[in-house]
Amino acid sequence: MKLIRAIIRPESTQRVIEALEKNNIYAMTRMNVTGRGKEMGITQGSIRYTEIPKEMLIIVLPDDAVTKAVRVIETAARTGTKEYPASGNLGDGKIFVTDVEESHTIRTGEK
Amino acid sequence: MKEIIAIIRTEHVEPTKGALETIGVKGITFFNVIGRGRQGGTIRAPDPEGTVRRDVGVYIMQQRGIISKADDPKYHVPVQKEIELGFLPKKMLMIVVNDDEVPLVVDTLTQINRSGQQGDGKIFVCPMIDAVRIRTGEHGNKALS
Repeated sequence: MKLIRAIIRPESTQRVIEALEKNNIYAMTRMNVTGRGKEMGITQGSIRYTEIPKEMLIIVLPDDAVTKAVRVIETAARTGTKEYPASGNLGDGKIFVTDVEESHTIRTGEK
Repeated sequence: MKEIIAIIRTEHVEPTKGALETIGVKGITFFNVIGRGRQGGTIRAPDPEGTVRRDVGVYIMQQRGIISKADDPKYHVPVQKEIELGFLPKKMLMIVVNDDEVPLVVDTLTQINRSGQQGDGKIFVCPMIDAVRIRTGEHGNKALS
């Protein structure tokens, strides 16, 4: 099992969720976070914003479903310009995949 | 070291804190999250609008003479309908413990948070490579004790 943490733009969250639903992935946890990337935030005129609001999605999936789910999130969360809709912009986010050793359902206690 | 991520109901936070304290787990991080499970945020419940469906069984019972009137409203069965709830507020706990404490913590979390209804939550156990106590710079298991 793997745990996917996707940090994405808040405005693309709905798009990503709908894309995951089409691939039969419904279970997820959402979280409001702030963060910055290697560009150290954004500069608007003379003001520097070092913490930019983002949305984090946490999804746990069996190993064989991970590659597809990552690709779905990637395509749905990627923004672009008018001419090139999927060219990607700074700040589109990151996806991290980590190991999960056990998973328990509290209601039934099954592993 | 293992990281335990538990997603529980918000009303179960206080009992969980107390239970974890009694088994000696003191360091917990809480997150406010919203989430949904395998059902995609829908539950099945009786329709309050009152559309009723007659159970086939009562007609068989009428034929066999067990009951006299199958049309009686007391034999009506309420229709189940799916209610869309969407993302619900939950609490996420992050606990880092030594390997040998994992079964105890998982059992405690399961027992305290179980109500038997859908939406009780999930517990995930993930490997954790290192921990550092910032105050002293200690690494590994020393940083947890």
